[in-house]
Amino acid sequence: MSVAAPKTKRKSATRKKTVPQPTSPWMVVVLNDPVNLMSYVVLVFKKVLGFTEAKARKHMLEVHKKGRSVVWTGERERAEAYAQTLQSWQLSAQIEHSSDGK
Amino acid sequence: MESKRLELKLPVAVVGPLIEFLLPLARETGDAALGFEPNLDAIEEDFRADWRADIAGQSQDDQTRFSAIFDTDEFRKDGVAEFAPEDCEPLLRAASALRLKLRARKLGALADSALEEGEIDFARLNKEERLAISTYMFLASLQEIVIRHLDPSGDE
Repeated sequence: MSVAAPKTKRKSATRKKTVPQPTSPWMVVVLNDPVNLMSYVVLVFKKVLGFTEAKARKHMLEVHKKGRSVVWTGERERAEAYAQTLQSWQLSAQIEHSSDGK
Repeated sequence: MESKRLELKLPVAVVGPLIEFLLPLARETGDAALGFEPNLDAIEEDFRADWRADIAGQSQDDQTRFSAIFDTDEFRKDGVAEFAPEDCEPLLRAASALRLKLRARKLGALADSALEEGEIDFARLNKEERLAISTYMFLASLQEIVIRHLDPSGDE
């Protein structure tokens, strides 16, 4: 799937690589909140993650019904960029490593 | 090519007090501009402060744009809020941040389910809570209008 390039305002481009990064994927997880409108969440998923309407609605409903949805999986820095952009849209997004077993 | 400006005409007698209630919240700066506390548990400690400052800065910018649209003589006189197409996304994000702030600071007595379903018993709320929930609902309506404008193909 082709996804929109994540926007990030991170100033810290010179990330210190003192710890080896795991090669297995990182997940961007969006958690439910009682405030944001369903239509708003769908719009954000389409704009930030490049989802189709159908895919955006599927993930929005998963967030609403199950409390969380994994909206992107891949390498850490892109996961961070997506999470930060989703947070700037006021969504409760976070990154988790897939080995966390959640 | 100059992009066409958008105009909202709102009943100023109803919406005016809600905007006056919102403006102090929308003018907050720094950490107070955050709509929620971002979860940075998985982020390396060295980056957390910058990350958080970036989110707060974006949120503050969005709310400044929101204030600029409504904090005008034209809005107070005629209920007209005019803005550019490029203001739509900041307006949406600001409305979301302001709803989150209202929920956290003014509407703590309400259950999540009541907010999600919109089942609010106004008779049980005090004066400030009534103003807060009315403002919270106005912001949702504003978001729905802007979302329909940005994404007419989307359906609720």
